[in-house]
Amino acid sequence: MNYRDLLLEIGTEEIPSRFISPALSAVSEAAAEEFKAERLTFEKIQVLGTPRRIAIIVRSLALKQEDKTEEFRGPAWGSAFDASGNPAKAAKGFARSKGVEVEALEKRVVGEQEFAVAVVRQEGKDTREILPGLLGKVARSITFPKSMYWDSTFNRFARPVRWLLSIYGEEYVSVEFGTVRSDRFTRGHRFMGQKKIEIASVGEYLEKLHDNFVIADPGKRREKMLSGVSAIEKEIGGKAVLDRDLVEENLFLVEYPVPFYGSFDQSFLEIPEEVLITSMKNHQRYFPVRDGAGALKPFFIGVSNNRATNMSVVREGNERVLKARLSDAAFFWAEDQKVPLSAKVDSLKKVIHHEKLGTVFEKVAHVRELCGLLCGKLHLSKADTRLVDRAVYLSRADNVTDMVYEFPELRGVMGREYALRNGEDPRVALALYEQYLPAFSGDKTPSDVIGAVLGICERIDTITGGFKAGLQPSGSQDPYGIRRASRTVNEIIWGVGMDVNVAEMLELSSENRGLSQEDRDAVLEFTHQRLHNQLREREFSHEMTTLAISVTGSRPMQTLRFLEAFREIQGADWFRGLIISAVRVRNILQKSETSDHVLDVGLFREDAERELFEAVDSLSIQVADAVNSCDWDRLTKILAKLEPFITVFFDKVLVMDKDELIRNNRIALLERCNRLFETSGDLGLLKT
Amino acid sequence: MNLQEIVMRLERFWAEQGCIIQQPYDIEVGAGTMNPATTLRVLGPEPWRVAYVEPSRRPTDGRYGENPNRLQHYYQFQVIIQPAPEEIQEMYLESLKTLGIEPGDHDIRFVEDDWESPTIGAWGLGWEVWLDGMEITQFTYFQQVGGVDMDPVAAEITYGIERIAMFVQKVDSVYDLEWVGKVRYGDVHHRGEVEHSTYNFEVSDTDMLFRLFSMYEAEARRTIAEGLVLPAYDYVLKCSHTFNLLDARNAISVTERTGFISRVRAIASACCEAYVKQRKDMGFPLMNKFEPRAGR
Repeated sequence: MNYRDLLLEIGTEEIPSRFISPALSAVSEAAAEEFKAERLTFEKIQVLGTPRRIAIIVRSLALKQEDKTEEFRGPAWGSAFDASGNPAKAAKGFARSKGVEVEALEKRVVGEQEFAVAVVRQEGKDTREILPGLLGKVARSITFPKSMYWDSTFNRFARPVRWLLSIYGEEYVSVEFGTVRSDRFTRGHRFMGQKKIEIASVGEYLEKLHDNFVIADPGKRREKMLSGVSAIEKEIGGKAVLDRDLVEENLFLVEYPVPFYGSFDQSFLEIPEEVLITSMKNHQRYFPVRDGAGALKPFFIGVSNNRATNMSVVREGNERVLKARLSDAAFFWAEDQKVPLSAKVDSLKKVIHHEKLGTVFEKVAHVRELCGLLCGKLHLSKADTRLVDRAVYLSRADNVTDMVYEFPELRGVMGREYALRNGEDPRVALALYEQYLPAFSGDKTPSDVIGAVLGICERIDTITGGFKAGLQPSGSQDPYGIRRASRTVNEIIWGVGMDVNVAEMLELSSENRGLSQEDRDAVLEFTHQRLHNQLREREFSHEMTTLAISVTGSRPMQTLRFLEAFREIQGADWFRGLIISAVRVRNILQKSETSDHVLDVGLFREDAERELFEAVDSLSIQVADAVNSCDWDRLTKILAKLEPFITVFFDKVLVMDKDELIRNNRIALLERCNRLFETSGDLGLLKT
Repeated sequence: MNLQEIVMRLERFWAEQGCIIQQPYDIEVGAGTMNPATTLRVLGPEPWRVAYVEPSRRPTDGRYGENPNRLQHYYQFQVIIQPAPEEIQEMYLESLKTLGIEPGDHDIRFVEDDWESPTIGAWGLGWEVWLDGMEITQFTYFQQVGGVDMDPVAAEITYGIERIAMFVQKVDSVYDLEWVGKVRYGDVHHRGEVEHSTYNFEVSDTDMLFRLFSMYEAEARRTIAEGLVLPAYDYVLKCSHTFNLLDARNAISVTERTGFISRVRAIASACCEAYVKQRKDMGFPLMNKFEPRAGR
């Protein structure tokens, strides 16, 4: 056997759960890279991790490096050896520097010349010689979002490294990290396992850990955790809400998952479920439980890291903690409703939104003005316009409620809930929640136009306000969330299907915020660039996106529809043909010295000329019409009609006729074509 | 187990680990960390092992004695060990056993929680310790204090005495805790919560507090210039508490906030720097004076 398995375990104090997964990928990538650089082959790397250990098992790692042959070019052959083949000083020196005999130098022709070449064969070293340095390097290469030092060597890791274990087959590998040196031991579960466990071979590592209540393989641990959760689901007749991030977090908070459940008083269910869920998830990492109809049940499922002597002690302790948290929430819920939301608006005058941009109240006033303008542009009904205005007025009132002070992530939700109980219009209440959508990439967009208008205007104001305050993004910095705001405006427009002219709204908002001309230009340039990027992410080509924006201007909904219409015809032969013709038109016109030639129908000599002229003449109006009415499907159909005429023209007609009059007349015809392309978008920009 | 028994057992335990048992500082602090027995002592190369109870004041957390879990005045049990020993987590878990908390009977977790105090320019990484879902302790490896990098690194363990007592005694309201015999926590502190909450939120003289803040700040600067580090640090603490009182009156806007915090940080850092120099001039007298597990 020419290979063995390798184990490296880095034993630590409890690493933050969110760091572990990324660290596992990093360590496996770093190891693979190091092995490759050292010419060590292996079958695969298995990653293992719990809060107290980051480990890899490398399967079938070669016993020895692969041999290596390298060739080095030395002096010219003529100066290395004399005519009778005796080596000169240059040859001897070169051979010595490469560690080969001078007789072993070979003659090679490179280009026109002959050179002396040293062929150096390096035999692969024993893997065991390489591992100590290599593994130390791998361990030190792991970086974390936040790291610390703890001893006099100032080495950094997420939390202190306390032990190291490395075995290659059945031999220990000596590895160091700071003051820690590898030994023969691992450690079991903090409370259920042995403190010191001797591991004699890679093969017994996982098994011995398992005997000591550590499931090091995250996949197996997840399985065990989830099967425990489903057993509980059956027992209590409900369905756990298994939020992906929360599952992941719980997984990396334990070495040995012991799911358990507890209950809380039915009366707490009168509080909005988002509040209960936030209390359970964010503070306690519990999974909430729903019944068959989707309603919350008065249960929670937690994941203990210990199979306690008596799990009911763990359950009762957790129930007491949750009860205290929910009692707090119930108190805020009651307290907040003593005054209606509308009565809280005034106190926003005392809340600073941003030191350079004044109070929240002022911010809302800016957004309110924009909302009024946008309602007009969108021709919303009077009734809808009134609802938008009410929603924007109340939009930040929940920021000063006790509940949102306690749980900032519940803003919007609390606005909706309190508004409903205050007897506000349900669409206003919904808008208070939907103004924050989409909350993350891929999230849903508002379902109603009221929240959509509010959401768009709030972000437009954020963009211009940010530029006004000098908070524009640079590099990876975006202190005021302007990139996000810009992106979200487009997401809402596309999600809801609203034909908003963003540039126009930005101009109005810039006016409102008193931006300099320079800043206004920067705002437009910035948002234009964002739109371009977002469309590129949707897999539209750079050229197509540029073309679409040039035709539709700053109306993201039209830009997207234009691109979708053109995506349909992208593969068609006629479209490729049309692009080729457009490129030719472009090239010819660029070369012709003069422009504004007068077209004279009388100078046509060929049918193809006359027919192209007639086609362009009648289709130009149709193209303009389709563009004005944003009917992009129709535009593609018109272009399809044009294509045969222009293709035949280039087939049959030589533009550069010897007769200057005829030549200029043909150029004039192409100028007509070009004008049509200017309306429909310069197809000559596209690559075929 | 009653409240004072819990404190006495913790003191006994940490004394056995070689800590000196100090008493609370005599100036209002927001946390045991602010006590010079932590803030100043962890600076420089000298070893340090200390444990003490710290009454801590958080004016904005007052609830007029109406909330069973929140207090504007509560007790911390603070432990500092520098340099942090390798087995510090195990030592902590042992300390819980002396309170009758057997790890095998519960779910004890070390959950990520980093600590930062902008007012004294300090930060560290560590955990909150969960006991069956309840946060009972804050555990921190200091990385920087007063803008000075830690060398060696100190471990700080801060027990929430009321939290632990509520867990041990299985009561839902802090005021129902048995202090000893028939005397409840409420008997000792409820009236104080009501009065201090009223004072902090409604009665305190904001103009006077602003004046005091400036006077304390000036006195700290003047005193540090005289080379008197410890008295200067007292005025840092007074500034910090005055700031907290102003905060409770909502007298400091978000904009001004950063300014006030950086003013306190500036004098705190000056004290820390001067302290390091002072100890050096004194030849680091505490070197080699601590022996692990001396105690008794």
